[in-house]
Amino acid sequence: MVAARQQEFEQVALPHARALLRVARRLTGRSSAAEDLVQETLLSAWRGFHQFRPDTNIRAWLFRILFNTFYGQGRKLSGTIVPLSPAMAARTPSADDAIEVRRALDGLEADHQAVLLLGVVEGFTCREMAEILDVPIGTVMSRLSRARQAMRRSLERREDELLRSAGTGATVS
Amino acid sequence: MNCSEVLEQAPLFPDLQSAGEDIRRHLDGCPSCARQVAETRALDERLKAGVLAETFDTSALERRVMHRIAEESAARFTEDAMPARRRFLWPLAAFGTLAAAAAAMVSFVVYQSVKPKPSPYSLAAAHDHRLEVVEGQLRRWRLDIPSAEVMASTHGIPTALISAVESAGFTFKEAKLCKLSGVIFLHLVYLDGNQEFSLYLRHEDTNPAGGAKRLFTTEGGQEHVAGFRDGALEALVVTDQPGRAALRIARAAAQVI
Repeated sequence: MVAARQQEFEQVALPHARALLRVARRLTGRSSAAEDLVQETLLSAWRGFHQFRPDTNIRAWLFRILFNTFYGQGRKLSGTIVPLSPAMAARTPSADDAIEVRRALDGLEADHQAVLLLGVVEGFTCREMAEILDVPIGTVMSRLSRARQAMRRSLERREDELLRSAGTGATVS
Repeated sequence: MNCSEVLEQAPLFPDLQSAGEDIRRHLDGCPSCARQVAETRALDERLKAGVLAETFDTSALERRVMHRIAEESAARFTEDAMPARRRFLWPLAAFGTLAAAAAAMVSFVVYQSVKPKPSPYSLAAAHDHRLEVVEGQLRRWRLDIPSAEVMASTHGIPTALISAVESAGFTFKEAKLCKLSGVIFLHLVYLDGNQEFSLYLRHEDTNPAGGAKRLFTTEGGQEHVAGFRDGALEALVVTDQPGRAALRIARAAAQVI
């Protein structure tokens, strides 16, 4: 019986580990912290799996647990800026757009990161994001709008830096 | 609707088809808003591509989680099994703890060793389904089962499978051949109620026939993939519905294939 539940959990919950880790990685800024956060999220999910209703969106449920766990660890989303570690900055080649985009994202306020990751990357609706983040839907909508503006400004700043560095021959890290 | 309302609301929809008629009408007649909405979508695509380009190997993390779950389950089993007079029965309880932990460890190790691995074509199938079925990129589909059966037979796939899947309660919609990571698959689209899902089939000559069907599930982007091998036949089910739906469809398909 327990083995069957474990197998079911593994089949329905673990396929989301990668998406959880992707978001956790940007929230925490560190690989080890992100893995710990996802591990705690999945263990909490397992402990509550007997209450999970089959018609519920398990992906949204897991992300809600992820953010609850993140808050529970004393992390505050509002106003927190996740700094780039020297190691991350050192391995950032300026020519790679994907890395540029992630650097720009890492430089945003964490509540802006959260709505961009959930809404744009993971494809959650505003209503689902409101439930995951436990904030009113209007807050999600306004955050999403501000987050896009911040992301655009951040990318433009990075591109200006690249253009300037290309002119001076300096490297951007 | 005025421009500021449209610019606020249009980016909230995954695509303009799902936005309201009044938003679409405004964008048709307002080049400035249309340009800004297009820029926002381009930014979203760039952000999504940038984040998804970073890959993670979660296999070690998943093993750790399942190991911890096995340990916790063993401990709970022992706790539940302990009577109130446990102090008189502590040798039995201690033995139970050790036995349950050992059983959990053994079952975990055995399960890990026989756990079906996702197909290497899962991600390519998820991406293909997203582009061709969810986003509806223009492709030449065959809309009748006889044409799909011709394509199946030329690639070693039993033609009866296409109708057999319908007998599991799904409705055939369309079919075509496609390449996933350079390998040809027959791409079939069926309806599960009013939800579309993709079934990718291929026949591999080098794979020996026989063996039990063992289901795996995985994800790729927003899609969920479930699949199985049956001898030389490989089948992948892709849906943008929850993973449980992918598993249910794959299980039903496995029963009739």
